[in-house]
Amino acid sequence: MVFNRTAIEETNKKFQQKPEKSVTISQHKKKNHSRSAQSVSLIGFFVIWQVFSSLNAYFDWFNPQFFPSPLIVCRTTWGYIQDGTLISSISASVIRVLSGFVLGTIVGVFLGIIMARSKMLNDLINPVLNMLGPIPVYAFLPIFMIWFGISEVSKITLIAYATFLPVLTYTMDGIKNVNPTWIRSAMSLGANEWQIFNKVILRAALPNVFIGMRISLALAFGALIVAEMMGSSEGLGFIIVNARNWFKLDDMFMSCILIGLLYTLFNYILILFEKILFRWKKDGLQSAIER
Amino acid sequence: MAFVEVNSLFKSYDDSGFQGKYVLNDINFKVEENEFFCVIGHSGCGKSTLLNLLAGFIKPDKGEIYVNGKLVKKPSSQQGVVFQDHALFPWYNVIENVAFGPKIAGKKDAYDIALRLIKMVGLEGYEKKFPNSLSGGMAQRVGIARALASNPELLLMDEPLGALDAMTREKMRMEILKIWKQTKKTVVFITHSIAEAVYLADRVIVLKDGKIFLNQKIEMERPRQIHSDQFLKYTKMLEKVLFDSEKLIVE
Repeated sequence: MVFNRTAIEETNKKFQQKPEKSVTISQHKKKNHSRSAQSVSLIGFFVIWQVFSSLNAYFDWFNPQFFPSPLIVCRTTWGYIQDGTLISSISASVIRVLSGFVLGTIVGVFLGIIMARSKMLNDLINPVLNMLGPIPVYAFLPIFMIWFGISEVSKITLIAYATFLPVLTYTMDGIKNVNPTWIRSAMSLGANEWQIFNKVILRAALPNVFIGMRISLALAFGALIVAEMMGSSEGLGFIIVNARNWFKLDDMFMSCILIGLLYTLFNYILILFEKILFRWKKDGLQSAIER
Repeated sequence: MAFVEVNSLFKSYDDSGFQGKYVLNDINFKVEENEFFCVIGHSGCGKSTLLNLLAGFIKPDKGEIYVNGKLVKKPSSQQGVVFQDHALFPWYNVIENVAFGPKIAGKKDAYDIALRLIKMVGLEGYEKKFPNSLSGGMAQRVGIARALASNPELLLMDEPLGALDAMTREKMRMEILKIWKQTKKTVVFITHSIAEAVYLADRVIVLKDGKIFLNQKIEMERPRQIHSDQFLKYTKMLEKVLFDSEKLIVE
């Protein structure tokens, strides 16, 4: 959730670029400014980290093994690349999180549509979801592991479950909040029920589905790492637990950074999709998106 | 039979069914074919309810509405509607919005129809723009073009100029008259502006507290001069009905 907010802010910023010529120059400057500030922040982070761990290595404040420098982490990563475990770990994690995320999104959208359309089903399903929703998904992992075994199925199920709830909620919300005059105008243009649903309601709710997906993405990553830590023999989460047994903090640091990078990449891809799908929002002069 | 016939129409939003709480109370009027028909009234007088009934969005408690001899039961492409907030689909660009009706009707030349109408409302070159990037007046032109694209028998306009600034309003009035003359549609136009009603209408009804207080033919040559004596005479007449409430209610 926390990372997600920054992601949403970022899209907001991106959507709000204004085309007017007169402001372009100053805005361009401002954008450059903020971009350099952002890179300074990232570089500074690594520099400070490096300096601190070097100082620690020199003065021996505490065991330097507990706080490896970025250079050592890089060296470790290089080792992982050379023996091939890095690629296999990353691909194992990516396949898990992708299949869980896609599955959860499909189920969430589908159920969301059904529940928004049928009052009866909504009344039947909603109380159960309200009860199960607040339970941290990680609590279900041991259950899933007993049900589905220590296999891919239990991990993917957990990720899918973590994904599905926010997608469902946001899909329902989007469908319920469609501007009624859009529906009226479609009716007066001769659209039948299916056409109204397909061409108006779904289209209007789609931005909301994407908000749900982006919130779910962070949760899906959380579920992925926990699942991998609890029962697997490869993947980024596995690297962390395995390294714990050998006090290899540089491996843990590497894994954490890779998780962060992967999340950022996936989030960026989602934002890219939104930019393409919701060009019509970018065209808006003022508020662009209300979220 | 007149083109549009409204017979003893009652509508209330009060579910308890308490008498005398009607938003529309025994409304009767006729609209001739090709007539420009204005409904004027204060906000809350029931004029939007009347339009929603004509469009088939809501159902009357009692009474019937006939358009071209057919009873209005539900919304259809025969009653085109132009909304106050234009209600364009923001995810479609201008031409897709206008082509929506004909495309749904399965017409192969949907985009040709749309192009022709976009040209008629003077928005050539804006076909690929999205509604969010249009000004209020432009968006409303698209709204009119979209309503005309399904070739409705009756064009219902719900305060289409209400959200526009005074200058754009004036321009749009002339535009609407031009379009009306070109397309020869029957128009029911809702407004709260007296000048607008006198400028546009062949016939005006004044709606107050759910009842018709005046049903007046406006007999003036077009284009109408806003400062002419005749124009002022009609304006005063409408003003009197609209504002002298007590006297008329007693009658």
